[in-house]
Amino acid sequence: MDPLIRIAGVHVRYGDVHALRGIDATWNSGIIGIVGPNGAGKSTLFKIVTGSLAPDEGEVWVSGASLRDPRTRRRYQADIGYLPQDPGWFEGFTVLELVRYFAYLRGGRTALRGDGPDRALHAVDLEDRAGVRLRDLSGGQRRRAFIAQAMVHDPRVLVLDEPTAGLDPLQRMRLRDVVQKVASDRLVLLSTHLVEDIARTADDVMVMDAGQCVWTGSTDELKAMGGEGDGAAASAHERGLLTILAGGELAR
Amino acid sequence: MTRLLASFLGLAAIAAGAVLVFDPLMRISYSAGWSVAAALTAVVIVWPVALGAGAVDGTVVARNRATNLVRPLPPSARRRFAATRIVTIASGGALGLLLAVGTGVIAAAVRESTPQLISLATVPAALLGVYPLVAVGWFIGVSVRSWLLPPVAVIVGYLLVVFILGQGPLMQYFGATASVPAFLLPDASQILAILGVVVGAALAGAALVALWAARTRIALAVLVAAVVVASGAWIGLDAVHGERDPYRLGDVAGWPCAEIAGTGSDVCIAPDQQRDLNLLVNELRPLDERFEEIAPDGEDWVWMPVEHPTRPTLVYDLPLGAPIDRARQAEEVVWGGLGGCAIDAALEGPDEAAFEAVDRDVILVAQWLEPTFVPDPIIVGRLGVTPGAPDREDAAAALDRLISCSA
Repeated sequence: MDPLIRIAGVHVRYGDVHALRGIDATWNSGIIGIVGPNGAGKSTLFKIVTGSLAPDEGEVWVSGASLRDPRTRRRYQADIGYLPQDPGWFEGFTVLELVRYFAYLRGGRTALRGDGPDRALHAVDLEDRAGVRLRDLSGGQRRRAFIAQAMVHDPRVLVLDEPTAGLDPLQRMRLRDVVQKVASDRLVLLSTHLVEDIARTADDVMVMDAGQCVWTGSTDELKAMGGEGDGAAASAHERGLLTILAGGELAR
Repeated sequence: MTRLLASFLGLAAIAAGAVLVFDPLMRISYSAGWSVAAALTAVVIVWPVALGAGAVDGTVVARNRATNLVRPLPPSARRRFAATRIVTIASGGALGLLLAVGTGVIAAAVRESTPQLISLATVPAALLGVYPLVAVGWFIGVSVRSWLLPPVAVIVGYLLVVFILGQGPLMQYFGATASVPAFLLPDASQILAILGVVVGAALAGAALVALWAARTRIALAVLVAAVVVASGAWIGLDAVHGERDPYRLGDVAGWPCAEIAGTGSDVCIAPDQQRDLNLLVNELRPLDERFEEIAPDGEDWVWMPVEHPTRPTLVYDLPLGAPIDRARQAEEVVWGGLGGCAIDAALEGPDEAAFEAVDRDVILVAQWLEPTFVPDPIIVGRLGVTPGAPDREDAAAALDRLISCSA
């Protein structure tokens, strides 16, 4: 059976900048944490995965069909939800208006008659804040509202780009709970530069650096890479990441 | 942002329409003329602003980080995203135009002018045109992503209106409204052609949005088809009508008339304005009674806003419902109708004295019809005309000279 998403030999260049250098990956389900320093190429990879950018080289397949085919791309884009790093305006929308607006964009008036908006709000625990404008929400609540818009159509793939960036520890913890809750029956691609998020939510990890995938494995394997060390200075997962990024030398 | 732009566009349409309410020329155009002028307003003023408003929103979308949220959406969702914004903005302008036209029609109706519904045919075309203009502006804005674009789009829009539409039949159709009285009716073929242009433009706008949503061959094909439809309608309009006046007269000889008691003259009016006939008879009676005293015997005179095909005509240009300026009306009757033939003949000849003689006759007849008529002091001095009513014999002789050339 074909994997849900398969990426092979993907290269992306922005002028002289080589943003992605031969990325390969295969994803089926669960939470995939994509971690790496700023500028590693995570957001560019997400543009490829969401079909909003075509690779200069390489190929992306969805259930065995190439994303270069317009019909496949259309079907696939209708079946993914996306939370970008900074969603921009919509501050004047209430939570419910935001979710209903995206339900309308994706499914027209028919979608507004369904239970998608209510289900999405329930999934992110924002039912009691439905009438509040986004500008009046905390940072964590706002992210949850945008996750709700991303899953209002019950997509098979959810792409979350740095959902915990800028949040305080309590909000991050709450958001991680929400991500785990909504990932029960779909593939979630989660990018972050905070290893702790990955450690607590992801099933598998992909480490990126300078446009390349430098390591893949489970969170337990990442933890094992960190070995024994000073727990007060860094967690085992962080030491594992540093080990990978430093070619196995630095952390030990 | 879209609501703000929609309000702005609506207010622009209303403000431009409000200016027309106070345009003194509109007083002679009846309510229908006013509504056509509102359509002209939409073309000349609102269309270029609509282009700019679309460009502003397109630029906002392209430059805002929210575009990251829109880009991964499937084409159908992106189309809805663009369409909702464009329709919201354009509907503001369309609503403003409707309010402006409605206000004008009501204002004219209050002044006892009768709306001429056929003339309103220009309004939907002008109104529908707002939508593709916003769509085109939006597409350019979202593609160019520069704040320099919106003002440039407005300026280019005005230049297009002035230099391209102004030279073509479209502008002629919408234009010259101030001098288009209500009894001149738009030609049905022209309404079809103009709607063809607008439908073509609407298709082009939709195709551009579809192209933005997904660069598909179908959208490109629709765009090409739209350009063909619009161009075809345009060329057809130009070929069929060319430089001709886009308005036509109805069956003038069949218009309803009423006799002015005591003089025997008839007053005729366009059928749609029949309600105003008695009012018109009362307004024209003083002029007609004076005219009857100097008119040649045996003639069957008729008062009409245009020349009657068979009967000698006194062409009136009366603003119904507005305060009547009898002195101006008397001058208009002579200049515009009675003296027309003699004036044309004098203008064609090289003899300045002959022209001055016609000028003097015009003033004499106008002074007879309305003794309070005061000609331009420069002319009075040059022609040696004295203020006040002339002798009846002098006026009758002047009238005879003026109308004899057409005999």
